[in-house]
Amino acid sequence: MKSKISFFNKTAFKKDVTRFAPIWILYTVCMILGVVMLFQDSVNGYIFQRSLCSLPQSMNVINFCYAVIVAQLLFGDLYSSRMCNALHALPLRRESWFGTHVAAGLSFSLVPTLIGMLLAALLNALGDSTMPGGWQLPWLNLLAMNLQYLFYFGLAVLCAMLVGNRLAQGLVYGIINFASVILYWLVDTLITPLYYGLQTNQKPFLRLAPVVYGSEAAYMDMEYLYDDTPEEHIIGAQFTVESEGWIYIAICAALGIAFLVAALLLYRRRRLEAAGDFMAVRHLEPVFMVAFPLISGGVMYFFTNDMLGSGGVVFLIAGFVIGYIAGRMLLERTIRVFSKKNVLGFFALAAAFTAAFLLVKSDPLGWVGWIPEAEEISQVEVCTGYYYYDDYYADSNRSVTLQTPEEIRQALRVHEIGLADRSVMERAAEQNDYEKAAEVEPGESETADVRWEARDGDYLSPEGIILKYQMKDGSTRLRKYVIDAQGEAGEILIPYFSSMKMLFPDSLKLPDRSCETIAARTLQVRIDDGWGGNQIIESKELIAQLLEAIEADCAAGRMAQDYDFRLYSDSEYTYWIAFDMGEISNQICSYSDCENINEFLCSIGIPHRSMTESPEIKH
Amino acid sequence: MLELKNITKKFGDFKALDDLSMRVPKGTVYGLVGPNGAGKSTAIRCIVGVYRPDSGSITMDGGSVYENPAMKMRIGYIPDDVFYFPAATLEEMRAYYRGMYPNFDDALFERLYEIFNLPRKGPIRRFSKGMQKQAAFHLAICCRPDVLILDEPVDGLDPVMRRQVMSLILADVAERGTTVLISSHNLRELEDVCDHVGIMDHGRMLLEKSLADMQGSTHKLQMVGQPPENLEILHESTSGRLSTYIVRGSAAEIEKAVAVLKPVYFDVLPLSLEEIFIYELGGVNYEVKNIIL
Repeated sequence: MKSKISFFNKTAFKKDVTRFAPIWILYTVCMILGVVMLFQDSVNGYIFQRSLCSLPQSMNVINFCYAVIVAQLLFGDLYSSRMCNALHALPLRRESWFGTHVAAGLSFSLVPTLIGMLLAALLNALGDSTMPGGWQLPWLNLLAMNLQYLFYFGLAVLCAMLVGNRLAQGLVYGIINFASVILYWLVDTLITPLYYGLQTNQKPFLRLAPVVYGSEAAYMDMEYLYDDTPEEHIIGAQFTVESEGWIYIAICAALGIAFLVAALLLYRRRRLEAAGDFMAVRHLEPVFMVAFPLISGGVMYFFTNDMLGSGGVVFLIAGFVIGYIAGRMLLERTIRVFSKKNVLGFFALAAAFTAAFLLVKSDPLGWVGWIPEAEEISQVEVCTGYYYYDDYYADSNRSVTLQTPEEIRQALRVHEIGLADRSVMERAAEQNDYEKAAEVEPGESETADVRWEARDGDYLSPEGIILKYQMKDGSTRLRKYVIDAQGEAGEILIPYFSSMKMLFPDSLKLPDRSCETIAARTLQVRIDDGWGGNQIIESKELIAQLLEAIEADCAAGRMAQDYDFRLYSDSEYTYWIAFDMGEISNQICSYSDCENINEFLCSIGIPHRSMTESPEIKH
Repeated sequence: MLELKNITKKFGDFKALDDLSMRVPKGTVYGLVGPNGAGKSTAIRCIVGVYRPDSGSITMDGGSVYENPAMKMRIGYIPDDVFYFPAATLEEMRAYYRGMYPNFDDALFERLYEIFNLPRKGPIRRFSKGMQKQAAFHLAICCRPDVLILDEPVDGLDPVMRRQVMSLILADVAERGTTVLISSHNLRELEDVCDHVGIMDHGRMLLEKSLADMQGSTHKLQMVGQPPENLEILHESTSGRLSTYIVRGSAAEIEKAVAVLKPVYFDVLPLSLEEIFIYELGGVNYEVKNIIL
């Protein structure tokens, strides 16, 4: 007679809830205090609602931590052979244990968040906000938090089934959660440097790490509506549900359910005698033994090479060796791991990694030397800056899009130059190394400063250039090089970057870039010398004259806003010229060698400082 | 009846159970004996459905035990290393067992308080090792199991409590016909209570017999003179003119065969349990003999 399968047992559930009451009660108290603090810190109901809009982002990391703790408590019986044997001798199927623990685990999130959000709903109702649909915010939060938790809890339970002790569960859970970030970091640190000109795009990697992306994704957004008074009082608000964040979180929750199903399948086949072992699933031991030394080596490389600046390769190898030995110790639960079999295993793994490294380094796909044919290209976006994928840097990058055959030919020439001359940065650094310049040979009368000044003779000006090819087949290719901005590549690019089109970008929505059009749109111009001096020009005639001067300096190639395009310019005397166009302001930078602008400023009684003072420091 | 057929269980490369077969007849007290590392606990964990054997079958009254709550409800198990939830009191454990075992006998539980005299309140983990063992008996007996499986049950109990616990178990056997499987590394602990014994070593069953059969089928013959040729002699020793023979067969058969020779002196004596096992096991290793002697 075989018993029918049941996924729930009341007694076991009651025991789970009472046995681990401290953790979910503590969480409930924190939820209540958190909501009360948010309410207290909000001067009005709108601010409170705005806080509720961003609550899922904050709760993402909390759910990440809380889920693994709950899973470890509920399934921790599997890690002690005494508990494991005693409990599994009781008349319950594993499906019942599993379903009951999962139900308890989910209730450990649902109950505290429900209590917290009931309180939030009450406080929300008591507030003075009249935002339409504002009542939904606590319930959307409740949904978001529990979907997040479902993902993390599912993953934590799966990890609990893969391993045999608590340390391993935490470690494997962390590695899997951050796997894509670790992978990105390993690729960016160890592999991308082997491919000159290539850059790693971190965004796809980050999207695969809910612990990172879930904290950045928007779930709800809210905009205030202000009155017309100078104090701009909030008179209303409207909120929107951001589909991107919800789609992401729904996918994560579905994955969480899939993880739970996988965990159940593993639990049904689990060898209970694995209690205390590092890995409970033997087939995963080789995976662990590949990943652990690699991560260990990568970490050592990062801390020595990136933070200390040297010794990277030595520590990479040391980290790999340590990782291999530590990994074997964890798996075998002994420090006596120096057997012949393990030594051979180490050399086999090291040989495999070396072969993979050499294969990557040999560039079998020809990525490094790749230069596209002009006819394959639809357009090229040329962008200044060293990082394309990082939003922080991307905001400060400037770019021009080249489309005509001649423009594309010029872009390809820049590509060739960038690829051919790989040592611009090193040579520039060497030239700017004062200590090196200060080395005085015995018997030489030259002083350090004289040598330092003398280095200006063949001054190098490195500029990061990113070429983003839009190919006719729809694909996109990106290459990054450092060029000498005062060399041939600079000569090609300066006209593009020193243009009215660059200074007055498309975002201004100007019908054309003529001086008349821009002057007509401009309400006033503020000139800031960076030293506290401000001048305002309101006369349309003067604004038009200023624009003509800017246009003339553009034609002379002096208005490229990137510093490296400007030989010998003096950063001490930068003028900021802001064109106030109502809702939007456009700011451009004028240097001391912008002769036409300086002449105009002088004519209206604002002489450029470079014309009245001798700069103390010259570049 | 509890039956194990050709059970093999490996832990990595180590074979803990090697083609183990055993039968525990219904209503018997079965002593599972073997030296440390023989595989007794592993066999018991397979029987109670904790470990899944790599091969072979375990059945109770024809039904499989593994992942079968209907069968497991009929089994009471006291492991060698008893476990309770960390902060649980005996009353809390009672509530837990009551929820797990539908036949849990609350009235008996109350009565057993008088015998074991354990505190109702206070976490069990604060109890002494012996008291924790008593608590395990307290709970297991009240589950009213058809089969009671005890892994090294009397470790940590004082002699008085040991006797009390054993008499409780035997009373249960007499009253309800409970089948009891007791493991021990010491045969002397079991000889007063068991009616069947199995001896294990290196994951194998070396010998499995009813005590009545064994005691009725092997005897000690002391005589002056040569024994009859038709007797199956397991062992012989001589001291002066008196020879001692360990002979297989019933007392009546042996007496009849010897009487024909009309020796000056002869006597047929029963063997102690220890002596039976020593002579039955013959050439097995030192560890096995050690558990008997």
